[in-house]
Amino acid sequence: MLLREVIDSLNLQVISEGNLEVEVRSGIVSDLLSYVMGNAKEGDLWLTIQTHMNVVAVASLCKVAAVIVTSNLEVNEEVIDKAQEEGITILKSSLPSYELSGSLYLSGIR
Amino acid sequence: MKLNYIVNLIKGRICVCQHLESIEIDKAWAADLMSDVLASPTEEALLITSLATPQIVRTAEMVGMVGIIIVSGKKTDDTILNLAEELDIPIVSTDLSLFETCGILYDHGLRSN
Amino acid sequence: MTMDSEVTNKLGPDILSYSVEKVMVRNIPQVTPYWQMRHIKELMRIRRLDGVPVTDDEGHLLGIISISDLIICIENKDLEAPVSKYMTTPVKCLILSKTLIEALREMNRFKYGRLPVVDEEFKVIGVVYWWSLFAFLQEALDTSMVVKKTIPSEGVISYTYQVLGRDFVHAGNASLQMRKSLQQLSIDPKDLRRTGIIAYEAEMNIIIHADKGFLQVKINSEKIEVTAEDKGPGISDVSLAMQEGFTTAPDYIREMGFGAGMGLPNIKRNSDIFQIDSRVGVGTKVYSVVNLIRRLK
Ligand SMILES: Nc1ncnc2c1ncn2[C@@H]1O[C@H](COP(=O)(O)OP(=O)(O)OP(=O)(O)O)[C@@H](O)[C@H]1O
Ligand SMILES: [Mg+2]
Repeated sequence: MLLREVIDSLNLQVISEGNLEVEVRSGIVSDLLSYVMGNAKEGDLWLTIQTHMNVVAVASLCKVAAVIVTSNLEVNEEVIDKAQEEGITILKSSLPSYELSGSLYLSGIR
Repeated sequence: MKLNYIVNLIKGRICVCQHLESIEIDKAWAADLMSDVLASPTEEALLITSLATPQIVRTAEMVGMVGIIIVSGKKTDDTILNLAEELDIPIVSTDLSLFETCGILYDHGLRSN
Repeated sequence: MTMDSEVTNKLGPDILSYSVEKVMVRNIPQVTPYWQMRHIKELMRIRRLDGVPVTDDEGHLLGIISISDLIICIENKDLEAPVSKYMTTPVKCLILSKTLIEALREMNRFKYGRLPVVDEEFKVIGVVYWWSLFAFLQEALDTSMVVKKTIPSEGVISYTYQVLGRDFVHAGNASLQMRKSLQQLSIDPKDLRRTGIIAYEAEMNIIIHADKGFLQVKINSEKIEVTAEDKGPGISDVSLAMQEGFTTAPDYIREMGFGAGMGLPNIKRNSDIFQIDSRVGVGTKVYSVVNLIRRLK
């Protein structure tokens, strides 16, 4: 599935737009950066409640398809700017991590 | 949904529990950060986390979580197991990732609220 | 109230300098060398002891008989033999004036599971077992957080707990103890939950961001007040700190599951009244009120 399709089907808000035409591989849910660094694969969707600047760095390092900030948490301007600069897609969902991963899983992303 | 049914679904191992069949789970919450556990809207939920620390057990107890699933095959040492036993909170561990665990349980109808 | 005078940490530097008397088991039967080994077997089994001192008729320490001595005796099918045949001599012991830390060191160094305690005349007055030492330390750790329970005025109960910066081992203990105390009152679970969240987040903030402080709850029939006050760096921009996601927690703290920048907003959301007062270089005070759904009798 393409990232754009995921965004549409799950009603995600785009707050930093990178490449939306990438193929989404799987999902990873984690708020621990070291875990993401060790386990995220290229093309993963990374669900987290972390909105820290380091998230952008890790996302870029792991080449995830996008970061999805869950529970409707605010992401501050600096982080968004940095993400845009790096070409990282950041999406936002009002669902908590559990519900969003469930929905992704149901939509076929495994 | 009974906790022992969940254990089967996620190929879990029971680390601490006295009475697995009698625990009814009807909500779930996934979090790695304590503040997020504390911000969960639901009491009596099942906590799914990749942290295996005593703090996660204390945090779960503070908000009345009914059980904890520790994912990604994280090692659970005696400190956490003893604490969980003392507080009577069941702990189940699984090798599945947080994403897969959430996915499977959601697929079987378990929601957050 | 001043923190240092009111708050005394039971598990402070003093604890290990207590006398071994604090942890010694006293009522051990006086075993003499002409007891038969089968009596020892029974004594150990019934009292679940893994070793007892052997004395002369006046109670002077002669040796020790331990479970391993007993095993050898049983292997020899020699249970009718006198204790003198199997006891270990000479024996390491502790003088009553020794401290806990000295006992710990001796036991650890020689891998002894037990040490008899004697007075100046070398008479046995008790035994320090590893488990008795253990039980004491554990008890001390468990209660070290409960600093004080007071009844400041009619119908008000107050609990105060000490919280130490960077003490991640006990992180959350104070709030947990507090929750246990509150559970004994008939507080509505919703209120209990709110109070717990407030206390926990405030406690964690002291542990993560400050040097030391205390957590206090005051309960009367209508409300619960939670105060967390610390000595520490303080917060330079409080309104920024109140924003969800704002954190100064370093990465290693985030890896432990803290530092989402959600603590203060969490506290506020769960409080009916919320006040925060912070001075840079001095410390921070957070005050919250939870109005009870159900009045307490
Ligand atoms: N007691 C305190 N002393 C000094 N600074 C504090 C204190 N409490 C909070 N702060 C400052 O305010 C910031 C925000 O606090 P808050 O509790 O909201 O988040 P956090 O502690 O960083 O993360 P979390 O609570 O989600 O684990 C902290 O990062 C810190 O800079
Ligand atoms: Mg905090």
